[in-house]
Amino acid sequence: MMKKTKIIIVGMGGQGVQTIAKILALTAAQKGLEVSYIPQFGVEQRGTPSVAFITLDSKKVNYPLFDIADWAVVLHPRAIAEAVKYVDKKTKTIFDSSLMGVEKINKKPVDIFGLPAVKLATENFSSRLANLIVLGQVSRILELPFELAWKNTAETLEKKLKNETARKASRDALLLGYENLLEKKSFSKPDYRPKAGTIIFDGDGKQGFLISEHCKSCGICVAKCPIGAIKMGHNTGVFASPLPEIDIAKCSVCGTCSLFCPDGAIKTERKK
Amino acid sequence: MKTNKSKKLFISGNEAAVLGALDAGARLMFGYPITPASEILGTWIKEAQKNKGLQFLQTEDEIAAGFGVLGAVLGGVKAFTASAGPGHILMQDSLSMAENMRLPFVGVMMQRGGPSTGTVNFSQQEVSLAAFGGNGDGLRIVYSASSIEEMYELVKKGFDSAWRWKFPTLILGDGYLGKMKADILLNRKKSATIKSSPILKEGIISTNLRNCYSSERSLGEALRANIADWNKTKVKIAESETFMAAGAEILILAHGLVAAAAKEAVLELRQKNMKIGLWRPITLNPLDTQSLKRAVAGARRVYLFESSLNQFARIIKYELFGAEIDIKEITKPAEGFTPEEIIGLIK
Amino acid sequence: MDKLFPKSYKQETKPHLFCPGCGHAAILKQLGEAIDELGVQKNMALGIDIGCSLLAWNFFDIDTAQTHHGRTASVMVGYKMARPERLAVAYMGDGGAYAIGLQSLLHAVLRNEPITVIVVNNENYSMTGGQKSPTTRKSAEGGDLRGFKGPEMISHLAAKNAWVGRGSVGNPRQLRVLFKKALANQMENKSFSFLEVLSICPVNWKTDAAASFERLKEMEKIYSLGEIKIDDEKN
Repeated sequence: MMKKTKIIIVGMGGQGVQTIAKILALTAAQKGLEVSYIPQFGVEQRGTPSVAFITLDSKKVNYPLFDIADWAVVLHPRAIAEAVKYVDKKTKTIFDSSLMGVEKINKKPVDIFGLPAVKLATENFSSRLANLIVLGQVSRILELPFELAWKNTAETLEKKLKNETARKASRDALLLGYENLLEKKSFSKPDYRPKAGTIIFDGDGKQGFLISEHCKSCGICVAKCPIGAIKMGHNTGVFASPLPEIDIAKCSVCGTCSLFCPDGAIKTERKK
Repeated sequence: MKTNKSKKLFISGNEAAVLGALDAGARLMFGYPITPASEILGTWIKEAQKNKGLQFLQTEDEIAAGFGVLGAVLGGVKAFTASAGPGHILMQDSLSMAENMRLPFVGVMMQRGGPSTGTVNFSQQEVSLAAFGGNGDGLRIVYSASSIEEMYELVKKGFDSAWRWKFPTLILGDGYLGKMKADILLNRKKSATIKSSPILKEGIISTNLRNCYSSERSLGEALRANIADWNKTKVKIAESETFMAAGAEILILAHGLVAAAAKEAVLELRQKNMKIGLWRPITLNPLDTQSLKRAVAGARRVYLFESSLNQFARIIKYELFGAEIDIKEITKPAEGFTPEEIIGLIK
Repeated sequence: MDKLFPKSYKQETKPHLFCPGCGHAAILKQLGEAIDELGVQKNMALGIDIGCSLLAWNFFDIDTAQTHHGRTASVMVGYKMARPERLAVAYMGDGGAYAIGLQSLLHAVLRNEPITVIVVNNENYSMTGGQKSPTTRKSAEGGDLRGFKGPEMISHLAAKNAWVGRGSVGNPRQLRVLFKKALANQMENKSFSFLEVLSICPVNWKTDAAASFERLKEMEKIYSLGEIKIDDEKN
């Protein structure tokens, strides 16, 4: 008999919070548990906090929401305010220790665990796979079999995993999360903070600016640059996604990137 | 149409509604023809042809008419629309936006028989629609006029209420009232108490209005503020008339033209020494609950007459819950009551 | 560093809430530039429709009202009657303008209402998850549809002094010029103006940046850009 377990997963829209919540719920149901999952989000598909409520029990779950979670999974510092509404001192909390400090989530951490998901994802694959590392970890905590979790992940993300490289990276990310040991009370420092402020690319009498708070990593500047002087780099933006880098030596300062950027996040100019 | 103050006027309720709008300072009307409210638009157009300061638009449907009103009030102009039945239903869309954004929508609804296209002359079947239609909680001011004179007064007052409290406001007539004509003495006065001003404020800092929220909480917060305003002001808005109710053992509850018939019945029965009176809401929403409770307190028997199936009774009974008063409900959806009929039903 | 944003933006609402790569944000940027160049920021009101367009409700430091689905043209018609000296602009998506609000749009054209209507065409209902819209070019069965030629249809119905055009996210410089024309027409000719903008929706199209613009190129082959004028006096 499983004790009723209430889980919230919070992050920013676009981080894949609802995707991993759905996979978790599905996997738990296939394992024979009674499950209820409900997403809570605004009208925006991206850029605002996204919360998933999951309740697991051996008995039927009648109501999907709750006041206090047994487990809180926090994927993004901007979503902490949402998370703390459902946290008390008994709540076990997993947070991305590469993006945020612990103090704002729970003042007296009893059971609080760091998981440097974005850091691990960026170093090993791409920051976009951080959610799968989290999914792997939570699946392990809930004693869900890895292969079942992977089967559901692969089926859910089918369209995105058409090529073998993407498929392998996703499986590896899930496995890394599944096998990674949580840091308890000795968290890796949140020194892996997203780049803040304006990143300046300087050289050759030219300057490129990237406003990291505004960049949503859409890749339009990369696609539109007529001479291929912009590529996605390793820095992570505030949306926990990779930021573009300008090869300033190559840049012709044509202005195409800033003309097309929907977010006012990139600009190049000749030094005055 | 004669508008001389000193003279008696021979006008319809529809024409009286237009006079009320004019004296309230309305400048713009949006409408779509529908019996029995079409003469409101027709009369307004005649007025606009005489007065360059007045505008009108016959829209492609009642949806556009309702939203046109909202656009005009955003610009700070007193605007209104008029409709009935199916048109009133289509206007619920704009009415709910007005509820959410606190826009001073004003509409005159001449109720016709329903459901569907029904009849074109009479009913009281738009009470629930007017007061509680839409997907909000009914933060709307709803007047029910009982005579041609009162149609004039309530339309005029309706603009003041809408612009003062910023709740959408409807003035209901029950069909006959639109079309019937009578020789009446109107005390025409311009109401200058409440001025309109742009809701999109045209200020240094922009006004950004929305009706779509991102979370339960943020919408809940906005609604709580509106509900608090409603609760604060509803006693100031609520109005009723108590007619010969002092010492009455028998009390009639009715509104609109049914109350007018009941008034005649009360007068006649009083002549026969029956201790009978009438309580009539002037606002169906919010209801003048205190006055209602006082009126029913002394009565041995209470009758409720309405030309709809319990729509009026639901409002009354909710307010009187726990009062242990036996109310005899007499309902005739989409059919009127004559005074003689009411007398017969009471005896 | 020079400015990144039009002056008419509301700074405190940035970063905005549109998805990564959303065409709306790129379109609003050019609209903002056009507004800046004409200097009409404080002399206009912007009506915002439902769908993704609603996220523009506090995008600009401009008076705005977000309305119901398909109702923005009607609201701005009412607004313009009340405040004829101010610019009235309706900002809508292809669902709001061409499906649920088509009746009101066409009648605003027929009456030559002096408002400017902007329609962002990304060939689907985006906010609800990419469902078919009137502009979707694939039928439910997978067959090819002709697409919805809004500006051409409107041009057939429009008064002689109305202005109708189509721009694209793929050509921001032209788009800015078209926005200026659409707004200037309302001021100068006191007649109806209409601009459709071909847009991209990477999230619902499930395309990356490059593929989004490739699909946009396909759209630009079907729909002509620039001012659309169909003179059919005899019909």
